[in-house]
Amino acid sequence: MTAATETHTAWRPQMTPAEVAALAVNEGARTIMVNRPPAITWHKLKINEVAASLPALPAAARTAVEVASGDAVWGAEAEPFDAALAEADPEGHFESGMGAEAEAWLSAHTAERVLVDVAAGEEPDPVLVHLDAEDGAASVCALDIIVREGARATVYAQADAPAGGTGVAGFAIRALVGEGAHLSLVVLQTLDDGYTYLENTAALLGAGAHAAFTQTELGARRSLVGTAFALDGDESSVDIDTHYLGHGENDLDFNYVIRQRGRATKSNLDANGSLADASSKILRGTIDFIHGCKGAVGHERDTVLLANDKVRNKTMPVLLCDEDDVQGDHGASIGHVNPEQLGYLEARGLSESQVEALFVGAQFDYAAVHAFDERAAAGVNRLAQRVIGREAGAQLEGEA
Amino acid sequence: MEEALLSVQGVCASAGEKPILHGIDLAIGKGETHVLMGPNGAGKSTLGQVIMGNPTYTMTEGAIVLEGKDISEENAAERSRDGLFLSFQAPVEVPGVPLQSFLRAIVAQHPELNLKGKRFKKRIAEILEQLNMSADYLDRELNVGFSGGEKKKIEMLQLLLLKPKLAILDETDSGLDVDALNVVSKAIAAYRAENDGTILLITHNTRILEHLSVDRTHVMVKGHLVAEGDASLIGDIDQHGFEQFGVAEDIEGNKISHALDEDEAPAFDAEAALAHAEAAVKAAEAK
Repeated sequence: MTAATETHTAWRPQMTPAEVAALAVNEGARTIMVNRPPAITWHKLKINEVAASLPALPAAARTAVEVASGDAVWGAEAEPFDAALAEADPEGHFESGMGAEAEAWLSAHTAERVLVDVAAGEEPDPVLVHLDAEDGAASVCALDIIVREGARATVYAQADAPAGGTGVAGFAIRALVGEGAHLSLVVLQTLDDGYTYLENTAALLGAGAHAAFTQTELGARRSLVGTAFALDGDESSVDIDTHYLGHGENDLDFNYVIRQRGRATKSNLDANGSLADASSKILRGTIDFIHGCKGAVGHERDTVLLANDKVRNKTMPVLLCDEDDVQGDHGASIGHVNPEQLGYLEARGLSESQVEALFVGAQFDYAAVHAFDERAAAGVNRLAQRVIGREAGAQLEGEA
Repeated sequence: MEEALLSVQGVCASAGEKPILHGIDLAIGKGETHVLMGPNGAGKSTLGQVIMGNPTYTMTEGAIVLEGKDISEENAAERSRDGLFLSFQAPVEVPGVPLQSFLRAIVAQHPELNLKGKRFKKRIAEILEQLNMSADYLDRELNVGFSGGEKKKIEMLQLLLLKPKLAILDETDSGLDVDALNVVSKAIAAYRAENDGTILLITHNTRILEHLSVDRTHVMVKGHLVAEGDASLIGDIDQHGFEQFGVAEDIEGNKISHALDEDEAPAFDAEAALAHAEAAVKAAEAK
């Protein structure tokens, strides 16, 4: 069994609906195009989309997905979410970050669907979902989240491969955050090199709703991550906090689409990562100020440390604007450790290569410090042992 | 005479083309506390950085010897591992690196400390308590969003953790409120007491010296060491500022004449400067 491979290609027309529908049948190897930004740039940059060649794989057993705690329906149908979506989104604004082809492929390979449905005004205990990738299979968890009016929900999800192996693993996340509701969503990926990871997120927010989305991508030979937030309600807001680490020959490919339709909506995308060895990363971030979103504010920033001359990084921050009363800014900070930081750290005995190793190890330490349960911490530590030769963040927590 | 722990021998240094230090000679014995004072722009911090091996500065002449070993050609990391420590006047923010990751990394450069596993944990807890700091700081990114006082405490945390042979404390007292100054002073005293620590303290402020027994005082003006004495020299400077060294600047570093550069020397009005100096001293006494 081999992990999926990919190539960057020139942009091509979208598949027809019939072709996409054909993807929703699990048969044979497929090449799908994912992570197209709303507005394309020079084809020669090869970042307008990415091709993922996915091998023929059976869907994993349902037991690959476990709801470790919290009030959620394991083995749910899509219908409850579809019904809530039809009511909340009559104009069809709901979209995913990876796109229709990924939606169809993930749907065809879903091992289990989990539904988190929080009633209006409620604030239940956090929900923990673990996806343990199955060797030689496509291990996909569909995660539907409905946070109804005035409710608060916290959902943690981890994709891990404690038994190693090869295959494809992924989350297909759909979220509806109702009026005045709050969603905290944390996704951690700690897969081994034998896996390709697909993380496709679509979310729609009502008036006054807020979503805090934290993503940490530490492993997998390929990580394809698409995230779309539709800020339809006035004064709705989203904070996206992404941490990533490239190591070995790993590839990371991100696509963020934030559509701000409501008045006085706010978005903040803050990506922070390190690229080591011969890893590569593309990050596309689009904030789309749609006509009528007066008073909207959007920020996006990608800060990436290049810890090796062999790494490749492309960042494509984009602001689309069809409204004059908005504030938007984007930026990217790309480079090696700055001289001032280097000087400080060298004065503490660290050589330049040790400083770069510190930044790489810090991604694991940060993830370990913020691990939401023991299994999450174990996944981070297993990967840290393999990549940096030590456990992460454990020096003050009973290290032997 | 016993060999000095640190010997700075005829050091000249420049930043780019601009000469800053001129023939500095300084010897610090083990366990001693030396104070380096001088007006703003005298070159005090530059001397600290040059001793530490900051590549921003070029040492054009002289030698720096630590425990009999010429370290002039060593880089900053090597000097740190040899036992030098510089507490930065403005500690640098390092986003993306939790404080505990940083502390683990720097301790790993000093195997002689034998601070692995639980010993490391125990030692960190002890120091945090000494510094009145919460363990929550360990999960925060290094110096990011820290107040000036918090940053200085993090410098003291490293000082107490690494137990260097010689610590250069560059304006460690600047920007601290009374409580923070008290904590930092106690940390410096603890370093001295617990490790027979050796200190080169760069400061404008004599308040921090109230907690320390000073062996020697050096005065730097325009990149030259112009005076040296025992602790009583600090009192002199406290009372009369740096005017006695040809510089019209009070102890707080406030210029009382702009005519300090050699190029402008002919225009220097000594009487006016003296009058200003006396007024500044009286004002300070009145406070």
